[in-house]
Amino acid sequence: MSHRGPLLTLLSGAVVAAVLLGLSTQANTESTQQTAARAPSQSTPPAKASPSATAPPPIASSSKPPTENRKAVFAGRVVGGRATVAISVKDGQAVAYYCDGDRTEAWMRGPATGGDLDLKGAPGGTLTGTFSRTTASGTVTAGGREFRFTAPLVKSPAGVYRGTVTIQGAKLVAGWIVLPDGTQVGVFTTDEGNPRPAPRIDLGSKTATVDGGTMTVTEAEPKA
Amino acid sequence: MTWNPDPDEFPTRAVTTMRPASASTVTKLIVPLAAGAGVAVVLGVYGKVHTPTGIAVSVAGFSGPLQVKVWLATVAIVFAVVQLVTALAMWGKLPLRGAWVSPVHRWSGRIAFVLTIPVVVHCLYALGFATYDTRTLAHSLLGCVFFGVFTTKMLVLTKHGLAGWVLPLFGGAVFAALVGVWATSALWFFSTSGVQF
Repeated sequence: MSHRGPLLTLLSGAVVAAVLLGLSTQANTESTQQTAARAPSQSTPPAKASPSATAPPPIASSSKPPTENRKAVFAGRVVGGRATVAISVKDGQAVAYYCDGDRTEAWMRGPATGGDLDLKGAPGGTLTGTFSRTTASGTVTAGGREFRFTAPLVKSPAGVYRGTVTIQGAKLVAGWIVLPDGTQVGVFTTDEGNPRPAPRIDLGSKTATVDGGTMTVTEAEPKA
Repeated sequence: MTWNPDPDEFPTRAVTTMRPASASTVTKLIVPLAAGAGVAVVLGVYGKVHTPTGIAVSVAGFSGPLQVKVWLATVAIVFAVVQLVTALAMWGKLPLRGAWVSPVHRWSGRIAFVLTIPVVVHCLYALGFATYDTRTLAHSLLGCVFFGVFTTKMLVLTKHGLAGWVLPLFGGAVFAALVGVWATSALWFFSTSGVQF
C-alpha cells in the first residue's frame, strides 16, 4: 500500500491531465471552426476585402456616456524590432494592431476576458498574451514573424487609430499606433494592397492627408 | 544486519532520521531524480514547442480561465501549508500526534496535486513556456520544476531504507517550488488586478 500509493497518485494525475488536454483540444477545434465561420466579417484584412464586406472596428460612439467606456489601451514596441503593437480592450473584447510603419500591418480581434488575450486576424496574424491594469504582454505574430512585447497602458492621444477614405473610386485604409512619446507608426493600403508608410495624423483635427485626400481618423475600438 | 522500520508502525519516523546517509541512498535516488528531471524537461519542451492556442476548457462560475487558475492554485497552496504542518508533525517537530496525521498528509497532498493539474494543462496548452519577462520566465521554470520534483518525491516515497534527510529535502523542494509558482502567478494577479472571482 505504502509502495503503490504514490505511484497511483502520479498515475491519477497523469490521467486527469490527459483528459483535460483532450477536452482542451476539442474546445480549441470547435473554437477554431467558429472563428473560421466568422472570418469574413471578423478578420479579413481591410486592404483585400470588398468595401461591403469590410467591417472596420466601430468608432467610439459619442452616444454612450463616458462612464460606460471602460476601455484600456496598451501600446508599445515589440522586443527586438522597431514594429509597434497596440491593444484596445473594452467589455471583454479586444482589437489589436501590429504595424511596422513600413509594409507590414495586421488587425486582430478576439476575446479578452480575465486578463487573457487570444486575438486572431487574417492572414497569419495572431496575438496571445495577458493584460493587467498596467501592462499587456505576450506574443504577436504577423507577416510570418513572431515578436514578444510588453506594452504599457497609455492615455489619449496615444493609442491605436484607423481611417478610411475613398479617392476617385479607390478605397484607402490606414492604421496608426501613437506611442506615449508622440511617435506615430502607420501604414496605409489601397484596394490593390501595396502597403506604404502612412502620413502623420493631425491629432488635433483627427485627420490625415493621404494621396491628396483628407481621411477622417478614429480611435479603433473592439466591438461591444 | 538490516532492519527497515515500517513507517506505518512509527508514524513520527524518528527512527529513520537516525539512519546515516549511505551509498545505497544515493543509488536509490538515481531513478526518481532521473524521472523527475525527465518530467520537468518534457513539460518545458512541450510548452515551448507546442504553439499556444490561447484556448482551453473553462470552469463555470468564474469570470474567466485566469480566475479559475488563480483560485485553484490558491486552494492548492492552502493544502500545501497543511502538508508542511503535517510533515513537521510526522517528523516530531510539532506537538501534534495521532493516527490522523499521516492520512491527512497523504490526502492533502493528493488534493493539492490534483488541483494543480487543470492549471498546468491550461498553462502549457493555452499559453506555453513563456520568457517575455522575469516573472513569466520564473513562473515557467518553477512550474516545470514543481512537477519534476513532485514526481521525484512520489517515487522516493516508494523506496525504503533511505537516509532521513531525503524525504524532508524533496518534500521541502516541492513546497518551495509550488509557493514560487503561486507567487509568480496568483499572488501577482491578486496584486495587479485585485482579488477577483
